[in-house]
Order: sequence, then structure tokens, then C-alpha cells
Amino acid sequence: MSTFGFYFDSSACSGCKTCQVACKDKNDLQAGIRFRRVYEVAGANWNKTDEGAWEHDIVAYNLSIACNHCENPSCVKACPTTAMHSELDGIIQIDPKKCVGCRYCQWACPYGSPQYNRQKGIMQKCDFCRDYILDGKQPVCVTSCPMRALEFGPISQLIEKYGDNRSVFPLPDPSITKPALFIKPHPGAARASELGGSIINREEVKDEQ
Amino acid sequence: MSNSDWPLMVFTLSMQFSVGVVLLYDLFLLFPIALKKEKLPLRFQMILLVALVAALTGVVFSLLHPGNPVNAMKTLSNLNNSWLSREILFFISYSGMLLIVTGLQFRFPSAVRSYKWLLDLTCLTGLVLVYVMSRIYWLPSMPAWDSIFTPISFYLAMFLSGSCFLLLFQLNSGSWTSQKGLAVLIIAIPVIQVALLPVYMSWLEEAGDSARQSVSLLLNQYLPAFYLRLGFEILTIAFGFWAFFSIRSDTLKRRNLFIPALLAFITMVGALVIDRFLFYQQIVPIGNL
Repeated sequence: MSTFGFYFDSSACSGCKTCQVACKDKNDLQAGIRFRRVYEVAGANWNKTDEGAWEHDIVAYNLSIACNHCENPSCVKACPTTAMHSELDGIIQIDPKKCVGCRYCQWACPYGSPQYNRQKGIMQKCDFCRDYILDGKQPVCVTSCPMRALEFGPISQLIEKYGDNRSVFPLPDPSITKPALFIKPHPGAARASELGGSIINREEVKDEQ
Repeated sequence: MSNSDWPLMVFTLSMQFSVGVVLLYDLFLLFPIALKKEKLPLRFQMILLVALVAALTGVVFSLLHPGNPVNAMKTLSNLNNSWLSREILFFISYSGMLLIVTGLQFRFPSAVRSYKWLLDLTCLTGLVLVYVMSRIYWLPSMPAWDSIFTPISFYLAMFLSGSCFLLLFQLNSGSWTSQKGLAVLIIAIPVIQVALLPVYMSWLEEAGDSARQSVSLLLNQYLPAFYLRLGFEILTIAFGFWAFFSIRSDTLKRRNLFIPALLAFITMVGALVIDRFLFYQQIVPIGNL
């Protein structure tokens, strides 16, 4: 079980993608690989008012998602080489010496977290900036966020502070993998599904490898 | 379809073809010969060789799939949890046994009864392999694959490809009862495939947003391929009927079987290739992330 987790305040996120860029910079990631991805979710309808005018009820918000170091990690179960493994501190890591780059973990992960590095022929992903944590620092995505929408800490503290909500549209049902991700949804998120909301920056966030 | 999916498509189809050929050869051809204590016709020895070549094709394409095949032997490290590890184990076992039994058949063609148990075991391993292969795709993160329809589709592909090949191969040498049996399979399996299509689509409609998007992909972006596959399946049924009614107990008249058997084989290949292409193409991950 993961002892650490992320808290994400979707209502505070402006979608500036500083977290995504800081992560790429810190991990020296090549083009097309993103350990952290900012999804732009939007949906809207046009409604006719009693006076005959038309008005929209647009919903738009952002979700900043990296590896959630799940309690029940489907990537670890799927990995045929045990390269994808859970450390004693609950952080899920990839052993590059064992990974064959079969990409099965990418299929199994409902959050699209493992990313394929074509140059190296192996998978890579967020490790909570483990080197920073060991130095007593916070992950780079957290410290770089200008809106303070991201927070990192022990799961028990995050739950105590923010509650245990791990779901928001369109993220998968958290019961599948029990992600260590706690979310304060945007106020409009509850309506996004019924408004036919979807991720509108798919081309930007998809795995290009 | 990503570049890494093409080797998987060839791998799954060639392995299912190989298992189908071996299984139906065992049931329809070898079993009656072993029962009557007859000598194995030389022509029949080639059947296992074709199945072996198909399995070896699978080996080559499976090695093209990983980014770093140097570590391929490490893929057996997670047998307790990973269906992919289990698939590789059964894949190695099946191919190894097939290699041995093919060698035995060429070396001792008249002693089929003595090593038929090994062929039976190869068939059983092959059947487990096809199931394990399907379980790889049975993932909650991929709703379009996450159902009983995946193993059903893999087993149907296995039986159909095997029966089409064997009917074509034993035109003048097989018994008319085994030919009739194979022709019935060539008719029945595409009928089941066509009948299952609306059931699968309506199941997808009920299986959440991502699954509904898979239906939308099939019926919009890939509609021509979808209809082409359906057309090939219907043609396979038609050629299956033609083959069935061409089979006579009179050996000379069996020559009439060549054209329908060949056409059924060609349309079967078309249907299975498009079907597997759509299988990989239709996936929309849960949450569409």
C-alpha cells in the first residue's frame, strides 16, 4: 500500500501546465513523453429560456494527473518481468534493467501513466520525485504549481485534511485500482457527464511514442 | 492502430491458426487413422509442418513487439500475477511440443499410435494457450476487450482458420465424413460470428462511456472495414455451403471441392485479418485518458 499520495484541487487549477513542464524538465523527458499530463475537460449545452433566448451552460475545468501509485496497482500485476514493482514505501517504480518495453502496463493502467520511451525501448513513469523526497523535498510538480493546486504527503494526512474523494469525471472508477490521489472537484464537474463533457486536448496529452 | 500492435495482430492470428490446424488434424484426420491402425499418408505429414511454421512466425513477430527483446527471458518472472508471463510459458510449451511431435511424425510415420498422446497434449496446451492469450486483453481499463467475447472470438478464429486450411489440404486424401465435418464448421463458425456481432455491440452500448465510444468508432470511422469483414464472413458461409454440397463419397468428384475450399480459405483470411484489425483499433481506454 502506498504511504504517500497527491492531492489535487481541480477548482484551483488554471491549466497553465507548469507542473507538466517542470516534470519534463526535472526528468529530462524527450518530446512526446509526459509523466504528468494536464487534461482539459469541457462540456456544454444550449438551452432555450422562457423568453425565447438561447443560453449556454458551459463547464470547463482541468485535471492534472500523473502516476497515482495505486494501492491495487494493475500495472504491477500485468508486468511480466516484475520490472514494475512496489517499493517498501509504496512508491511504484520501474526497474529499467528488467523492463522489456512490452507496454502491457500501459494497457493495464486506467490512468495512462506508464509512458513508452522509444529511444530506450523501455517504460518510464512518475516516481513521486523519489530522490527529492529522500532529500526531504517535495515533488517538482507540487512546488512549481503557481496556484497551489497540487499537494503531496502521507495518505493519512491528506485524507484527514481533505477527505477521501478519489473520483471526478472522467477519471475511472477508483475502486478498480484505489489510486493515492485525492481530489477536490471543480464545482461544475458533477454536470460535465450529463453535458456530454469530454477531454478536449486529447492530441496534446496522448502518448506519441 | 499503433505500430506495436501489428506484430501482436500477426502473432495472435498465426498462433490461433496453428492451434486450430493441430487440433482439427488430431480430431478429424489422425484419430480415424490411429483407430484403423493405418499408415499416415505422406501428404498429412506436411500439416503439422505448416502449423509449426505458423507458430515460428508467431515467435518472430512476438520478438518484434517488445522495445527491448534482449530481456525476453525475464518475461517469465511474474507467473503468479501476469497473464502475459503465463502466455509466454504456454507459448514456449506449445511450440516445443509441436516441434517434437512434428519431428516424430516425419521420423516414424507408421507409429502414429505410439506418440498420439503427445499430439493430444500439444492440442490441450494449445487450447490453454488461446485462453491465456485472450485473458491478456481482459482488462478493466479497456472495456471493449473486458468480456467473455474476447476468448469466444479467439476460439472461433482458431476453429475457423484450422478447418478452412484442413479442408483445402486434404482435398483428395481425406475421408468424406471428415470433409463434411470441416465444411459444417466452415459454415457454422461464421454464422456464430455474425450472430454474435449485434449481441456484442448491444453489450458495449451498456458497458459505459468508453465502450459506447468503441461502438461509435466501429460504426463511423471504421464502417467500411466493418462491412467488409461482414461481407467476407457471409461469403465464407456461402463457400462453405458450396463445399459441403460438392463433397461426394466418389473420389473423382472431389476435385469439384477445390474452388469452394480455396475461396472459403481466402475469404476466411480476409474476415479474420479485418476482425483482428478492428479488435485493436476499437479500444477506448476507460475514462478515455
